[in-house]
Amino acid sequence: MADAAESIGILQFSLDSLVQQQQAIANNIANVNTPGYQASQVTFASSLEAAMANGGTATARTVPEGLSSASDGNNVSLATEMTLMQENSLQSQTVDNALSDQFTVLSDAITG
Amino acid sequence: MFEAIDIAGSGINVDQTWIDTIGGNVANANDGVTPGQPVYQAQYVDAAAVPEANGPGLGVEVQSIELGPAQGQMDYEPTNPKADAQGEVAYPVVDLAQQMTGLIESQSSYQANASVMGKATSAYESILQIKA
Repeated sequence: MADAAESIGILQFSLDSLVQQQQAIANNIANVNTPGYQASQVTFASSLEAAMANGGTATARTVPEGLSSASDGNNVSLATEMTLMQENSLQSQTVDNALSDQFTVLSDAITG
Repeated sequence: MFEAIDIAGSGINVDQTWIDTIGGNVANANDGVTPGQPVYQAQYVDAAAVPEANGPGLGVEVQSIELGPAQGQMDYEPTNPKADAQGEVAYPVVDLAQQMTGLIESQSSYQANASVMGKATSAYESILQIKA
């Protein structure tokens, strides 16, 4: 069982990663019509899982999405990106609430 | 900070420029002139992604506005007051089907970017609500 500081650290990493992920999704959508543009995504969940199981530091990585390209060399799928945006938004809210909960617990412990 | 909002804004800017050029192209598609006079040249937006050293990227920007052919296309209209001695009038080269397709693409993209801006704003607001 992680202590409060560790939980906050994990949640902070998650939130940082989700914000990066959101930026990647926004960038893919902004470039939906840019010839030759290749979509990228930010992955962090598997790295975080491994770090929590085995110790070590989790990292968020920007990697190509690798979908097949249209004739103009662009591989952004607007439907995929809008779905990812929605997921990212709900995940962020969940982490935000969890962080608030952790801070409330800490605050209660301090004030007694 | 707030990169996603800036990125969505950059997309909206490019889409707006694109829509403006389409408006100009369609409005001027029938501007016939006497051959030899300057004929309207269709405008095309050349956009490119804005790269970021250690991150997914910083949106999109207009690199340049490319122009269609300067000589136009000749139509035989001897009764047109603009016709030359050979009875020809020069018209801009504007593919209306291509322009309308572009209009639909730019509209969809504009809406998607506007939606991203709304979602990103909510997400940032939610982060700002974190408290003990």
